[in-house]
Amino acid sequence: MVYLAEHLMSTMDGGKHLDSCMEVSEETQSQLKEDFSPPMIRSVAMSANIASTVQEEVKHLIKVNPPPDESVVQYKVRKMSSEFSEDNSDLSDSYSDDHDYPSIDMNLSSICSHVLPNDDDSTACAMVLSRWDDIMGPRTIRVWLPETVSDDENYSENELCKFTTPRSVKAACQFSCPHQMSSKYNKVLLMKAIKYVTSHTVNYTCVTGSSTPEQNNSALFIVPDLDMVAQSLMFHVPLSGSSPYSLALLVKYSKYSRFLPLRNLCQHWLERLSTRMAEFLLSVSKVHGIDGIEIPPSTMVDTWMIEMSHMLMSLEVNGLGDHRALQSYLSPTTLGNPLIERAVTSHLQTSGCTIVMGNISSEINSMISFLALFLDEEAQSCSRLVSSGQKYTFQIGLFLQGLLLDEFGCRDLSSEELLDNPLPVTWVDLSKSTGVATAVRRGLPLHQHQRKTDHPDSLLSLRNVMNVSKDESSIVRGLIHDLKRLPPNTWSGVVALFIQQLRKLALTLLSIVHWNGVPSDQPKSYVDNPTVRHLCATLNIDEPTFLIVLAQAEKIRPGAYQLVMEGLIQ
Amino acid sequence: MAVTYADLVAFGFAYVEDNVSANFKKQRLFNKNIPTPLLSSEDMCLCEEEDFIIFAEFSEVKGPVALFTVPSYVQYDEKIDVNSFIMRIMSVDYQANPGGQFCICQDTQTLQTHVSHTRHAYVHYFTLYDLHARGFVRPLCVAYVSSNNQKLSKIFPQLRDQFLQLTETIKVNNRQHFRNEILTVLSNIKNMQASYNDTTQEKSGDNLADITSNLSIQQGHSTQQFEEFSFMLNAVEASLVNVDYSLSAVDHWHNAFTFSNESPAPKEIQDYLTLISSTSYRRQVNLHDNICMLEKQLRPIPVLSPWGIASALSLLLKILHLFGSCELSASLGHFPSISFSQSDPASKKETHNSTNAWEAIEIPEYLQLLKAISIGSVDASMPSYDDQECDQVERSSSKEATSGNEGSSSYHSFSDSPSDAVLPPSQKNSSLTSSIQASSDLSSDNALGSNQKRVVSHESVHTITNISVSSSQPECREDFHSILDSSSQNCISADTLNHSSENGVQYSSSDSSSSNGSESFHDILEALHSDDNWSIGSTEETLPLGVAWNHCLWTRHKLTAKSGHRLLKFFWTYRSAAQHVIYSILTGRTLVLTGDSSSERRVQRVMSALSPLIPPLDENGLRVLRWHQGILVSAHIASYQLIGMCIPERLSIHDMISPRDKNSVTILDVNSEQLLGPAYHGRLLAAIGNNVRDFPSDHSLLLFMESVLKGIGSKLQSYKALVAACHNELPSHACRQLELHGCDADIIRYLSKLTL
Repeated sequence: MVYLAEHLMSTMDGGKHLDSCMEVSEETQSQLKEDFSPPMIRSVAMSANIASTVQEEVKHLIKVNPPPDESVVQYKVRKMSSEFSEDNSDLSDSYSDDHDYPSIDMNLSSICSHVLPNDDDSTACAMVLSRWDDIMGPRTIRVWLPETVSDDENYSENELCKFTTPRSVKAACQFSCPHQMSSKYNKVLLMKAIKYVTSHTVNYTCVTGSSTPEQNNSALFIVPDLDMVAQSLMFHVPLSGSSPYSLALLVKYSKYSRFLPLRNLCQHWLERLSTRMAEFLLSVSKVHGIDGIEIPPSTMVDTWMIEMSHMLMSLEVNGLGDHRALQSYLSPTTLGNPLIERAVTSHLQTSGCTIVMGNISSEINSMISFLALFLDEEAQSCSRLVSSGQKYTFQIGLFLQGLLLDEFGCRDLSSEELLDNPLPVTWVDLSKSTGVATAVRRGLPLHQHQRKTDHPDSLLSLRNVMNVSKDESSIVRGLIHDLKRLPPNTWSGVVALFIQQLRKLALTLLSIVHWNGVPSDQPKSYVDNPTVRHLCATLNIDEPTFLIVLAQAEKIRPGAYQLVMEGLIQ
Repeated sequence: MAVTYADLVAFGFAYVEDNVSANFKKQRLFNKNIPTPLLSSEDMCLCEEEDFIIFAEFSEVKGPVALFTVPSYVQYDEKIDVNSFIMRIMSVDYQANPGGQFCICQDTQTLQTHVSHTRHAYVHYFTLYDLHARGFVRPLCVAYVSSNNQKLSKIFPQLRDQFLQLTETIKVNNRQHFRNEILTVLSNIKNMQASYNDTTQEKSGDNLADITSNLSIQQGHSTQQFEEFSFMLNAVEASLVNVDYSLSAVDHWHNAFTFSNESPAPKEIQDYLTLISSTSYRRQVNLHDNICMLEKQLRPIPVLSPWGIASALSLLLKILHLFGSCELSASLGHFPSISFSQSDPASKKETHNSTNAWEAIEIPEYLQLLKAISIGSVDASMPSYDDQECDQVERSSSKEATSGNEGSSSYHSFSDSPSDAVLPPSQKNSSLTSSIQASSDLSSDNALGSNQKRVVSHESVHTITNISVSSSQPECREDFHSILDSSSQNCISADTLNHSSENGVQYSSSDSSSSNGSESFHDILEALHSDDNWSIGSTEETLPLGVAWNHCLWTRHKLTAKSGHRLLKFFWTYRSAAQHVIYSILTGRTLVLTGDSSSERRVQRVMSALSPLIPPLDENGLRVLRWHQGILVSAHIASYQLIGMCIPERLSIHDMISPRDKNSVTILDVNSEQLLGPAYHGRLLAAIGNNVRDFPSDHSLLLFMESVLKGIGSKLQSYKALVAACHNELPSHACRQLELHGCDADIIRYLSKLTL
C-alpha cells in the first residue's frame, strides 16, 4: 500500500498544482492507477485501516469529487479545502480517531435525495445505501432524506460540509443532550450518523467474513451519542466480483421504543428493497460500468423509499395504539356478524395476517380491534386501522390492516402482492355487496405460500391464490359463544387464556412430532394427509383447529408447518 | 369463484404497474427469501449450542482480547474460537467516540447476525477511563452470544436493559476511581508548581538563566496539564450525578468483599482483593510522568472498577440463567396459572433487580468467574512480546489458586454439580486436575453421546419386541395389565434393561418407517418400557410433588425424578379411571391412594405423576400425606389433598374409613385399579380420552394436559367475568349461559374459589 501511495503522490508532484489536483475525480484516479500498476491495485482487498491510511496520506486528493460540470460546486470545494488546510495545523494525532469514518463526498447534494415525507410523525429519518470499495473502503453511495422545509433550504451544502470536518463534529458531540440542539447540530449529527452506518455496515469484516453471499447479514445499531438507531441489511449484487452493499434505515434515538416492535417489519421491507435495489444496480452497472461509484438519481428508487416511509408513517398515524385505545373500538355488534367464527378461524390459521375491508370505517375498525386481541404485542404494533380521511393501499408485512372501499368497491389488491407477503393472508370482506358465503377468504397454506417460487407458472392463474374459507374451528366457536355473553372490556382476558391454550397445544404438537417423527415421503394429497389425521386424533381437535395450532407452532419454531405437511425440510 | 376474482385482476394489476416498472415486477416477486427452517425432527435443537457471554477488551497492547467468558469453560473451547469471535465484534470502534477533547460517551448497542458461522450476538460497547491508557480510555464490550437468532431478537429489549444496568455500575465505580486519580494528579501538579516557585525564589541569585529556561517550559506545560485535568474532572463529576442506585450497589459489593468475619474469605476473593489493591501496581504508576509511559503494562480492568466488575459478574450469571434457556422449553411439573392478570406489564417493570453480594460470593460459579477474571485480565494487560513473563504470572496465579485447599475444593464442587453435565470434552483448563478431567469426560459422554445411545436403545427395543410382541398385539388392554402386574419375567427384563443403559431406555422411532403414527405399536412399547415399572426400582428417594422444572422439548430426556414423570404410564395403567380421578382432583376432593404395605413405592410414583395436575390451595404448595398407616379420620381429609394409605392384609378400605368420610373422598386402589368416587361426564375433560394412548412421552402428555387446563382457564375467566358483570344473577345462571353443566360446572365453581 505504501507503494500505491507513493505512486499517487508522485502523480501529484508531477507538476500538478493544487487546483487541478482537486478536480481529479474518481474515474481519472482509477485510470491513473491502472496506468501505473494495474495488477497490484485490482487484487487489493483493503482493511479499513489501510484504506484510511491511504486516505490520510492523500487526503486532499481523494476528498474532492466534484461532478464534472458544476463549477459552482467546484468553487465551494476549493473554498472548503482552504479552510481545511488552515485546520490542518491543529489536526494533530488526537483527531486520528476520525479516520475510522469514510469520507462522505463533499458535494452532498449529488448523493442526497430529499424525497421522504417530512413530518413529525415519520419514523424514518434517513435511508442510506453504502458500498464497500476495495480501494476506498466504505463509501456512502446514496442517502434519502426527508424533504427539506423551505427555510431550511438556505442551508447550503457548504455549511453542511463545514460540519463534517472533525473539529466541528467534535464540538457538536460535546453537547450533553443531543435532543436540545439546534437543527444545525442535528444535521451534523445526521451526517455523522450516516458516516457511522456506512463504516459499520460495510467494513472489512463483512468482506473477509464468514458470511456467504446467501446469508444477508443484518444488524441493529443503537448509538445514543449520535441520536441514532439504525437497522441495516447487507446484500450482494449478482455480479461476479462485486463487493457488498448495505441498505440502512436510520431512526432518531428518541423513537427507539416506537421502533422496537417494528424491527421485523422493517427487516422484511429492507429485504424487499435490497432485492429490487440489487436488480437496479445490476441494470445501472450495465450502462455505467462495473464499479460505478455513483448511481444516478432515479425516481423509481425514490418511490420505493417513499413507499417504505409511508408505510411506517401510516403505522404511526393509524396504528392500533395502546391497549386502552384498542378497547374503545370493541363493540358487541362485531360478534353479531355471521362471519365472525370463520374470520377468527382463518385469521388464526394465517398467523394473524388479515385484511379487513368494508364500506364503513367504524365497522372495519371494530373488527380489526377484535381480531387484534388474538395478536401479541409486536404484531399489534404492526397493524393499522383505517380512517375515513386517508386512503391506504395494501401494505406488505403488516399483520392487521383495514382497507376502505370507495364507491366503486375498488380493492387495491393484487395477487402478486398478496403472494409477496411473508405470510399468507386472510381477507375479510364486510361490504354488503359480497355474499356472506365468500366473504372470508384465505391465502394458500403456508408451505405452498413459501414454495411459490418453485412453480411460478401455476400461479399465473390468480384464482388459486385466495380460497374461500368455510372452516369453523370448534374451539373458536366455543370461545365466540362465551364472548357473546360478556361485556367487551372483559374479552381480552378470556382471549389471552385462549391463546395460551393454543400455544400449549402447539408445544404439544412439536413434542409429538419430535418423538414420533413424520413420514419422510410426501403425501399424495393435501386433503387426506395421514399425518394430519393422526395428529388431529391425538390432540383431539378438528382440522381447522389443527391448522390454527400448526400456525402457532410455526411461530414458535419456523419450519414446523412444512415439516408436518410435507414431512421434509428442504 | 371466477366472478369474485374478476375485479381483483382488473384493479390489482393497474396498481402494480403504476408503481413499479414491469422489469422489476417479476424479479421482486420471486426473489423472496424463504426463512431458513430451524427445524427437522432429527436435528438437535438450537439450544444444544449453549448461549454464552464474552467480556472483552480492546487492549491497546494486544488488540481485542477476551477477559473472561460466562460460563468460563467457553474460553477454552476450541470449537467456539472465542478469539476470532472477538476479532469480529471488536475490530471496528462501534462507539461514536469523537476523539479530541475528553468527554464521557454513552454505551452503544448492536445486534449482529451471523457473526461467526452459526452464531449471532448482542454486543454492548462501553468505555472505562484510565489515566494511564492511551487517550485515557479502555474500550470494552460485553456480548451475549446465541445460535438462535429468533430468540436473540426477541429478548433483545430485555437484554439491553439488563446490560445497561450492568455497565452503569461498572462505569460509576470506574468514574469514582478515575476522579480520585485525577484529584491526586492535580494536587501533585499543584505541589510541583509550588515547589518550583519556591526554588526560583530561593535560587534567584544562582544560575538564573538555566532555571528560567527550565521553568518557562515546565510551568507552561504543567499549567496546560492542570487545565486539561480539571476539565476532565468536571466532566467526570458531572457524570456522577443521579446515580444513587449504582452508588449503593458499589457500596454493597465493597462491604461484602472487604467485610472480615471470623471465617476466612474464599481463596478467590482473596486473590481478587490482591489483584485490585493498588499497592501491587504502584510500581507501574508513575504519577509525574504519565505522558510518556515507558512501561507498557496496563492495569487490569478490575483495578479500574473493582466493585463494579464484582457486581457485574454476578449479574452476568443471572442474565445467562434468565435468558439461556431454550425457547422451546416450558415450565412444567406444577399446576399452571390459569387466570389472567391485568397487572402483567406493571410486574414486568422492575425498577432494579439488585443482586445480593452476600449470596453471590457463596456460589461456586461466581468464584470460578472471579478466578477467571483475575487470570484473564492480567493476561490481557501484558505486552504481547513478553510472553515469558505473561506465562509466569499466569502460572503463579494458578499455582496460588490451587495451592490453597479452598480454591481447589470449590472447583471440585462446581465440577461435580449437575449443571456441569454439559461440559464439552475439549475442556482444557490448565488448572484442571486429572480426576476432574475424567469426571467431565464422563458427564459429557452422557450429554453428548446421544448417537451412541440411539444405537443402544435401538437394540434394546428389539429385545423387548422379542419378549412381548405376542402379548401386546391384538388386545393390548388385557395383556397390558397382565404384563404389568403378573409377568415377572417381563419385569426382570425391564430391570436388566435399566442396568444395561445407564439412563434407561430411550425409545427412538427415527428409523422406523411406521412412525406414521396410526399404528402406534411403538408407542405402546414405549409406554411400557421407557419408564420403570410402578413398583420396581432402585433405592427410592423422596419424589418431588408439583415442583417446577424446565426442559427443551426437542430433546429426548427422560423426566426421571421430576414431578409428572410416569404420567403417561398412569393413563395406561388406570385408563378407565384416569378421567374420573382428574375430575375429582379438579373439584377439590381428596384423593386417597391405597395399597398393601408393599406398594408404598407405587403409591409414591402415582402421586408424583399426578402432582402437576393438582391445583395448590395456597403458596405453600400441595398438601400431601405421603404414606399413612392407620385409620383415616375426617381431620386428615380436611387438611390433605392427596393421601397415600396403607391397607393392612386381610383388611379392606371399608375398615379403615368411616362411611361418611368415604363419600367425601375419591379412593383409588393402586393395585386392583379400583376407583371409588364420582364419575365424570362432561365436555371440559373430554379431550383426555382414548387419544392419550397415542402420546409418545410424559413430556408431550404434560404439555397436552396443560393445554386442557388452559382451556378450562379460559372458561373460568369467562365465568368470573360473567359473574362480575351481572351481580344479581346466581352463579348457576352464569354456568347455564356458558353451557356448563353438571360435572363441568363443579370444576369451574371449585376453581373459581381458588386464587390461582
